[in-house]
Amino acid sequence: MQETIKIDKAHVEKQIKDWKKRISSLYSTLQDWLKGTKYTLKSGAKVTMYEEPMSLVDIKSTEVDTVDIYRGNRIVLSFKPRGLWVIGTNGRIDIISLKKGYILVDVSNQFKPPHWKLFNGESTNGNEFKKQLFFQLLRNS
Amino acid sequence: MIFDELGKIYNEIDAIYLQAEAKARAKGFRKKEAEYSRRRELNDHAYFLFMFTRLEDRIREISNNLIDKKNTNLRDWKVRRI
Repeated sequence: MQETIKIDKAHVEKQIKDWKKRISSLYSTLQDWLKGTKYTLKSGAKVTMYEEPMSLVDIKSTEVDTVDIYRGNRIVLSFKPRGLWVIGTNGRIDIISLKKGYILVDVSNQFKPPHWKLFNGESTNGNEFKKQLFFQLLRNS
Repeated sequence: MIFDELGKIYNEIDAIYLQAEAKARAKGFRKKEAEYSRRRELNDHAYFLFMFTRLEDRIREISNNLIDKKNTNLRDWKVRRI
């Protein structure tokens, strides 16, 4: 039998906490990948998170971390969480650069370990977000 | 096809605002960055709304066809009259 989930304030707060944890974990992974390279990862200005489910259960807006990847003094890529409650996903992060943008989506189920896939807006088939693909983005930015 | 055309326009608009957002971020212009981010979001909403209404139309068309087909194939007049 399918489990019934009660969407109440406690549940939404749990989802937000999980989302922030997954974002933090992703940034740690990026940091690891960048070790020993000419790129550096720094925290960027936070973005505000306030989505419909939060307003429905009377949760105030919160802030979510972003990161910028530098080559020297220049930002080459930025990771900006776009939203948690995005149809068909378990969260979306926008990757932006001066040349191109990408959409990073967690396709895992709720409260499961993240499974990140990268979309470039021109294709409906995402690619597994692995180290090799990440460095390809850096080279293209 | 209109989906493809609108899809291209959506991507064009997104790319324009994305570049503006990235430039603003690189220069530390937070308000501008937020403004362009918001415009991209609105572009998303507009495109999603269009696609969703098309999906609704398609579902309606298919369900109407199924109902018509079932009515046409009914032999029992007692059921058919309903």
